[in-house]
Amino acid sequence: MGAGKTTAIASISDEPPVCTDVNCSGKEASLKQTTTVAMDYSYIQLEDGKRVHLYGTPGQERFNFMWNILTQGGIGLVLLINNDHDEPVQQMDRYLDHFRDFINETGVVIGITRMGIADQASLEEYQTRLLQRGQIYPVFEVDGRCEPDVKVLVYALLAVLDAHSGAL
Amino acid sequence: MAKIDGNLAISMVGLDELDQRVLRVAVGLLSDDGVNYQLLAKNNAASQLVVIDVDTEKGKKHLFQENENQLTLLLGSSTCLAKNHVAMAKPIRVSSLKELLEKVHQRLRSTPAPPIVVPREEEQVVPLPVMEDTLFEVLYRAKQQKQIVKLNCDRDAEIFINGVNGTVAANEKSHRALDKLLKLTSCTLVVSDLSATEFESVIDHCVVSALDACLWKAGVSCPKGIILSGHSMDAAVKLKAWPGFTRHDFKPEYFKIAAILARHAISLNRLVEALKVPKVEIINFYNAAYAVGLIDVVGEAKNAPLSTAASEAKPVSKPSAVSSSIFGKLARRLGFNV
Repeated sequence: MGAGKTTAIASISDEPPVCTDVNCSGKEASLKQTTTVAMDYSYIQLEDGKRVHLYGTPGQERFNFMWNILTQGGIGLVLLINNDHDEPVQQMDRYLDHFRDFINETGVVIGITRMGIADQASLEEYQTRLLQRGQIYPVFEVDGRCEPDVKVLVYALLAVLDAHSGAL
Repeated sequence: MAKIDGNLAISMVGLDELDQRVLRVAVGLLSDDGVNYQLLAKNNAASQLVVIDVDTEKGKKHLFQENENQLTLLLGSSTCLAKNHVAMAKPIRVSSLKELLEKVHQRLRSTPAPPIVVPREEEQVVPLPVMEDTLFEVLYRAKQQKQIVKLNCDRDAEIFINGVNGTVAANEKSHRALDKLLKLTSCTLVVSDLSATEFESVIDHCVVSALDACLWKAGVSCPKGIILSGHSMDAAVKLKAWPGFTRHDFKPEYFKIAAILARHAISLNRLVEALKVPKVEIINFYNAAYAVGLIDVVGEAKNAPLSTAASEAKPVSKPSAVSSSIFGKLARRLGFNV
């Protein structure tokens, strides 16, 4: 939660995302004002008129029923981890475990947000964890508010998907 | 504008919670470096520097309350420079804000400040003449042979390389030059040996970087396009981990190479044929990745079929050719030259 999914989608999509944000309550209210409870949606229109649909799924476990729904028919996964959370590396583990099958069939790229203001984990710690898991996934420090950062993330995903699709 | 001997007081107007935290972290980091700022509480405008978010109504209103003794740092989606104003485009990052505040502090401590121009992230690199050896080779040799050396480069830069503990040290001036030097296609280098004691004695006032980070930058910028001595273009190689690209060294070609080598063990010759990426880029990527320990050499594999990592050996449903073309269209749509 709070990794910047909604902002990241907004920074590269053709239309402002359709959001299902509500005001946070309880502990979450101290972390951010609103949170996504179902999904964010927008799209990028290609030159031939086709659309690539962008879905953001809420990060909290209690919404995990949405995760499987939104990955159906998906071509790749961008995983944004909020470095300002407690145990963000373990959080990455949990998401990678949950999406294991989808990632094996498509591809994943990992963006770590809020690294400038939070030092819960360094980029090296994420990379080391991936190495321990035997997974070679792109991992970047990103600012979801910054369009070039999000584009770099998407480009890395495209490169991964292209390599997967048997370009060789 | 007033000269300052000690702490420089900063006030802020209209900053949202996130930007306030960015500012606090930047000020904290500067304090660790001995550059002292004092962040004033909200609504306390008695500062030498005021940071204003001009995208907010509060910020816009404050902008018109001119104060000749106060330097103004404007944050906004579109910014312009004016007298006594320093501008920075949003979103602001800790590193760039810290760098800017450091410059502001230096200027204010010495003399009335002329308008400060925020440095562009990628400054123009001027090639230097004559090459004896490349910086990459010097760094790589130091790492491999665990050498401790002093490196004198053009422009009086003096860099200390410790291949034993994997660090590179340079005084502040040389450190600023180092980033440029790492990207230069050639420069005159003079290398001399140092003892461990000599190294320790000179690094007190130096900025210390990781040798691997310097090796990577120097490797991918190397002009030669010659594979490391003893290595073969026909050996099957594979990445052990994705390189730690930063937003500053984004190069689409390297993403393509990394994506293939992360998935397949393949020879560089085969990679040149398959990717249509210039050979020099593939060799530079390989040299840099090998030097920082990211490459597994699987063995001689001329004409061998692609091998896939065991962890990914599970049959996968490959996206169709239609998907493949969508990737290209999407990349073009996002402004990438593919």
